[in-house]
Amino acid sequence: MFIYFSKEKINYFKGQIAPFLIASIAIVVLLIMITVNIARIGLFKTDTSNAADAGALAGATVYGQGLMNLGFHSDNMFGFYLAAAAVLASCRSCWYAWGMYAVFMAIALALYLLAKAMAGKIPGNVRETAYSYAFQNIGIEEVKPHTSGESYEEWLLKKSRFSQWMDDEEYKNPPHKYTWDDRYGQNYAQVILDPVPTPTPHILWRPVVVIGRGLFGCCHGCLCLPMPFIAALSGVSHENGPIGVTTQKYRSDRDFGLWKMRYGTIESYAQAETYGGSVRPWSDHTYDSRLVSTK
Amino acid sequence: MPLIIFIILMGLNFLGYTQDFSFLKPPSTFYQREQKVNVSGQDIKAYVFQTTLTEADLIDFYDRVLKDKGFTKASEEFQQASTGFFKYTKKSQVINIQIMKAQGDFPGVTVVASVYNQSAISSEGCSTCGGGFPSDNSLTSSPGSTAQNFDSITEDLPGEDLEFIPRPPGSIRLVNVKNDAPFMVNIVYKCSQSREELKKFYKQNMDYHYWKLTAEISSSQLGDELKNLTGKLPQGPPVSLDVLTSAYNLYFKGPYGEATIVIMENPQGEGRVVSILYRK
Repeated sequence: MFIYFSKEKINYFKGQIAPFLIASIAIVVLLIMITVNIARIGLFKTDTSNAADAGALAGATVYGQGLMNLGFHSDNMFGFYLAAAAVLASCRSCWYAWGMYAVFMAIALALYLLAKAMAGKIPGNVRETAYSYAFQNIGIEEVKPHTSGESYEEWLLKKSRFSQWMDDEEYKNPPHKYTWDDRYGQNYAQVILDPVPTPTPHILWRPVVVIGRGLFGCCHGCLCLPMPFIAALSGVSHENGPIGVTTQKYRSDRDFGLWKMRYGTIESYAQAETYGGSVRPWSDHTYDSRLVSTK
Repeated sequence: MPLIIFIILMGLNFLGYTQDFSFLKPPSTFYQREQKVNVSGQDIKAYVFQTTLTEADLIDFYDRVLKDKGFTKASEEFQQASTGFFKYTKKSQVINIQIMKAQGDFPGVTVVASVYNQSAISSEGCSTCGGGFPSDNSLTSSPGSTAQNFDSITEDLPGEDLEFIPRPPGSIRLVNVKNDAPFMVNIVYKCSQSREELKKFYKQNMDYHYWKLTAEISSSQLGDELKNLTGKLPQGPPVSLDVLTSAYNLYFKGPYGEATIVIMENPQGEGRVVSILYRK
């Protein structure tokens, strides 16, 4: 083509720009391909990031809700403490007061045990919610199969395998991985959680006077001491409840036609925490959640 | 008609039913709460304040304000390390002031003021503890004597049972505490059945009232933690570790709310004690 143009150059002045145009078009096509492929990988990465963010935030929110419930429990404990304090303060008999003190302490311990049991369930709830939200947002591009003789309405109503997997709460089971096939091969999405801290409630000890020579004029010979009592929860360890979620997504090998560009495995990580609120009695028990790091 | 209402209100005021206790609120209070507790038929009002005042300022404040209102200080106990207790009286009216220092991350000084009518409580008398609180008249009893312990209570003390939570057959009601906000009721019964029988009784009978057992935990599960906790208590007769570890706790949820049933050894005698804590 170039020899032809060279020989005919005297007679042919038109089309000189064509080689440059062709080369430019090739470059533009190449740039479009690169843009499209990067965008595809970007979307792929967005899916994993969304999933990690959603999982971490949902987990932190559930953690906060668990702490809020502990806060309401703490209110109840403090209400009982005040009731017990009032009972014991107005009681005039040593032995009777001691007996009531023993019974009330047993109830206070029972309430503390319940608080511990409630706190112990928080990590499990956090994990379930974080897995659920992460998988719901990870973007499983599985084609719903069409069986023969199936009408469009039936196909629409039919659940995909992934929907069924979510409904069956299979995401709760290790290795928390969903795999699906397409014409290129097998793909998978996996969610990995950092260990979820178990909030440990701490006791708020408050004195409750039972007897005292000076104050109640009774119980000659008894100790005149402010008796400690389990009044409520003073706080919990791991109050910020950092929830870390890693999401991985793998798409089977497919050549984008450009330097063997492939999706491979894309990974994202997000960490969220709870803040605000307090479990102390009669305080604001409302916890909020926020993302603290993403990558 | 307005005259009749006025006379009734004056009468109630004279009896102390409508008395305003807002003067108990110390300056610089950043949190306050009022709570009414009914103990075996007797009303006790509790006021809780959290303030930025120091303990010394609070003592001065209550001394001044309560003296102005005609109260006299009956007694005081001040434990430097933790807290102070002060009792003021005016005729039959009693105001107990409990001042608690800030603790850990619990900010400010907390004041719990409980107001009750002494005559209403002691007039019930002990009468072998059948008619309310034990009275002042028998305060010569010293620890070690058997007077006025749980064993000496032979019939129900005033109060009422809950319709939807059964009481153990043949039991004697020891105390009934009713709290307004948060609403809760605590009833303690003395009974002779074994721990296993009582557990079985509640597991079977709570079903009839649509309660669902959500958890059952023995306090002995606390193990070393319980030893650490009870280590904070003065050593002596009031609460032995054995009594606390004997507690078996049943937790129920139902259409009425939540119920915690604690079955434990009687800390003062034979048999068992069942404590029912009901929360809406």
